[in-house]
Amino acid sequence: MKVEGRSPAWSNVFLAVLLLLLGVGMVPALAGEAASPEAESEEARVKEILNKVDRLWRGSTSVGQMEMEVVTAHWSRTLRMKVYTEGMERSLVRITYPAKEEGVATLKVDNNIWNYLPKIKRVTKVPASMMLGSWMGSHFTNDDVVKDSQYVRDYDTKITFEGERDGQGILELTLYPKPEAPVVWGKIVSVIRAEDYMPITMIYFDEDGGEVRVFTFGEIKEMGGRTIPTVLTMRPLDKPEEYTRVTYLEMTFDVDLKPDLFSLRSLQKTR
Amino acid sequence: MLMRMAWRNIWRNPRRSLITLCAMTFSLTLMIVATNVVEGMNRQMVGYAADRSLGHVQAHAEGYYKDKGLHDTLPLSILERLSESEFRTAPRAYAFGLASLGERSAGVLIRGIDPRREREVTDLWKHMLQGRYFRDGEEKVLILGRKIAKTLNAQPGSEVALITQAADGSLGNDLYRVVGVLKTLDEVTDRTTAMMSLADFAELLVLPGRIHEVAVRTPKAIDVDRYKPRVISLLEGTGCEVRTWKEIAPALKDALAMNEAWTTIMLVIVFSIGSLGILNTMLMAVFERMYELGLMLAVGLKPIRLVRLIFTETLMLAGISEVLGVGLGLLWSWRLVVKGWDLTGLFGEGFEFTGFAFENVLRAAIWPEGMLRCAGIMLAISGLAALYPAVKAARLKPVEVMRT
Repeated sequence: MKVEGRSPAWSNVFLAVLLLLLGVGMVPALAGEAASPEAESEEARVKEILNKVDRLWRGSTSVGQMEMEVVTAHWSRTLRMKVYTEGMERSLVRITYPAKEEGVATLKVDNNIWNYLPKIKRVTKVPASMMLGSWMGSHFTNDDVVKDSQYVRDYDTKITFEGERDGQGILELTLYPKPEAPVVWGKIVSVIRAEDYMPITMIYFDEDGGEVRVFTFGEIKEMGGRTIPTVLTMRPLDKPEEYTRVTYLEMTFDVDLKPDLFSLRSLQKTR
Repeated sequence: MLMRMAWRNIWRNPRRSLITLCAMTFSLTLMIVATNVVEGMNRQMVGYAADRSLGHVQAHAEGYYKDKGLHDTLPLSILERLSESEFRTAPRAYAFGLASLGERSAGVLIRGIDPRREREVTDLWKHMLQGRYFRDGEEKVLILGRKIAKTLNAQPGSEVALITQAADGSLGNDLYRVVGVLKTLDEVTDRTTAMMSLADFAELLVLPGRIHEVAVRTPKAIDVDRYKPRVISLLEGTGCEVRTWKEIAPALKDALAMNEAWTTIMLVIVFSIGSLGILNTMLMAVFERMYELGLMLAVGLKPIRLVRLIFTETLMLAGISEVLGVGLGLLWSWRLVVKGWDLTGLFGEGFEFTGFAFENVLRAAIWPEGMLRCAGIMLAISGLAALYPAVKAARLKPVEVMRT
């Protein structure tokens, strides 16, 4: 399967959510709880790591501002957006810049994605056939977005490396899809910092074992009271000059959100 | 003399001869009809592919045909290169998008065409199931493929939203009123087509003055290979890739070849069975007349004349069948040409065969060459069938057969 759908399906900003989960979620949850050296069984450890992420995000909310820079061979552009999340299951993204796209919004609830287009005042649900399409030409797909809450369900995770790499203590987790899981990737290799489980890279492989794209986490800073990587870059490996870079400008956690924020009605409000 | 004898011999057993005659006539009629129906299907396929939607020849920017990259475009002005030629041309542009109506949405191939020029290159405009074709200067209107219209539950008058990623990376989106729905063309076209004017396309995709494809109509689709070099030379230096419909739809070429093979096999089977009838008739005729034939040899008739007699009898039978068979076959075929063969009861609305969609009414096409081939094969097979009885008769030993 190809990652680079030319189709325009779009709502990928949700990826932002994925980023939040992997980038933001893991870190504070695990910070200060570095893995004990006398490791229990590997399985138990993986489970522990994943559980911590899960526990932290269940019911937790965030509001943030981010900038997304997309560079392709033919054009490049920068979008700004406001992102609201609640746990792993719900998120709402509203574009605030540029003017042409202002008010374009995307709602994700569980595995469904809807887009709102103010110009034509229409809500569209992204159909299954469009899940591999990219959002706004970014290098993220709709599938990235809805699948974020399903890593545990769809993949078997193993610790495949532990130790020093480039002078840094790291843990390498490899995610293998479960036999029946409806996933696109052959495997995903995730490298995290050993001391605090801060993510460094995620490399996505196709079913033939070839590297398809690399997701890098950088600029680790304190934002909204948590230490998070604030610059996230996705690079497709078949087009070396292209990338999508998401930069968090502002983040607040554990905000009281209006109960109906993640609804189709609120999706259509431009402000 | 020979003729008269042969003629009389045939009618010495009228029942047997008539049955053989009927069998041969019937197989020939059937084969002629089958040939003409298959020819009709072939023409429909070529018609669909080349005349209705593809165009006879297509030119693309280098790499576009393979990768369908939105940015692999040609300037609209490239059409001027062909304007002084015997060819007619139409510009086309394509982009993937999402169409949505109410709760329903589906992926589509947005096709930008010049409504006026497209009419000169393909018959697409005649091929409307519902509603109508574009009118000059009309804005923000859409024609949908048959299946996509069904998926979206759209009919003329519906307002469909199209969303796509424009050439500058922005989110192209707008509303379009459906004015027409196309009849069945092929599976992919039916399922994905959302067609608009090139002007609307340029606006939605932010791609002014650029196109992906030049469709060229040559004087005759079947002879397209003859015109290809000229198209290439006219486009020399533009870096265009030029393809004929045969190259674009190799499946079509294969389907035509398959139909041909299939018809030939049927021809052989049907006529082989028919020839067994003749073999039987003539063999019986020889065995029945052993005494008589032996007598003829005994009084000095040369065996070769006996052979000729048997052959004449056979070919007479065959000749009568040919006349009747061709006549009946033509009549029946003609009926299928005029009225068509309504398969609605069998297949519902339209059907697919060898991967090609057909209308529910199949129309035959008279194909003289094919009919000639049928008649020729039958004659040849009759001749072959007569060979054995004839040789048998020539080898009779008068003494032996007349002893009884």
